[in-house]
Amino acid sequence: MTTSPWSLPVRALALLGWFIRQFIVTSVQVSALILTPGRQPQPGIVRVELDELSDAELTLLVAIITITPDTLVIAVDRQARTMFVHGMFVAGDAEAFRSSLLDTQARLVRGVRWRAPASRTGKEMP
Amino acid sequence: MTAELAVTIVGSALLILGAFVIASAAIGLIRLPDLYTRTSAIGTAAGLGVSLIIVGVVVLDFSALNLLKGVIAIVAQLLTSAIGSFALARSGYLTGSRPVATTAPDELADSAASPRDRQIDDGRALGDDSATS
Repeated sequence: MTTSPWSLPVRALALLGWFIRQFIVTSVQVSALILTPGRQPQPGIVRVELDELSDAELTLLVAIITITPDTLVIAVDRQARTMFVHGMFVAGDAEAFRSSLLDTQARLVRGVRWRAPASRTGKEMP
Repeated sequence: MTAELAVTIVGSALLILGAFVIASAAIGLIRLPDLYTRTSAIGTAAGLGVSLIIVGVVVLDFSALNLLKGVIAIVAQLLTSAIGSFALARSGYLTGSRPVATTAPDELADSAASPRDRQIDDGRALGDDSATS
């Protein structure tokens, strides 16, 4: 099952809206963390196995993840289709963090491809 | 007249809010424990802070052309800031800047021994950095 190519503008707008919201929410979270006296971040670095992405999609994914201030891509291995992402609010829960990154990937794929997998939630857990 | 006043208030509030976000990122630079969390703090200033100031200026001096310029400026700012943060974090890791000890899990350090990571290192093994930890 794939999505209809005609719905691409709608899907792209959905991606844009979701990204803007995510960007503002995480910026406020990071600022709040900094401004709360005595509070320290609970960072973590996880390895994420990526789907088959084109170079442009991979670049966009790295950009989206890095722009949202709580997450930061440290390394990308294109051959192994793996990337390492630093998160500010992981708090030891690597699986939740990893699946949120996979969700970002699924949203990106739905927002930029003419024919994207039609799964709604994008929870493609291994 | 009142519309003008409202525009001035909203525009100025956005400018002040943007400056406030940048100031808090500056505090974060001093307060946070390692390169990666500090880079994240800078992300708020470079992203939200600058965007708020651009939106504020567009509100204060609104025209179709300024709106277009503002959108282009924000998109360009976000993209370059993302690539800059990524390059900073990556080069920081490759030159041996270790994440703070409370970083858990650190799957990048765990994977350093893996031969699959040849693509990540530029002539220098990632394992060099983690050998001491």
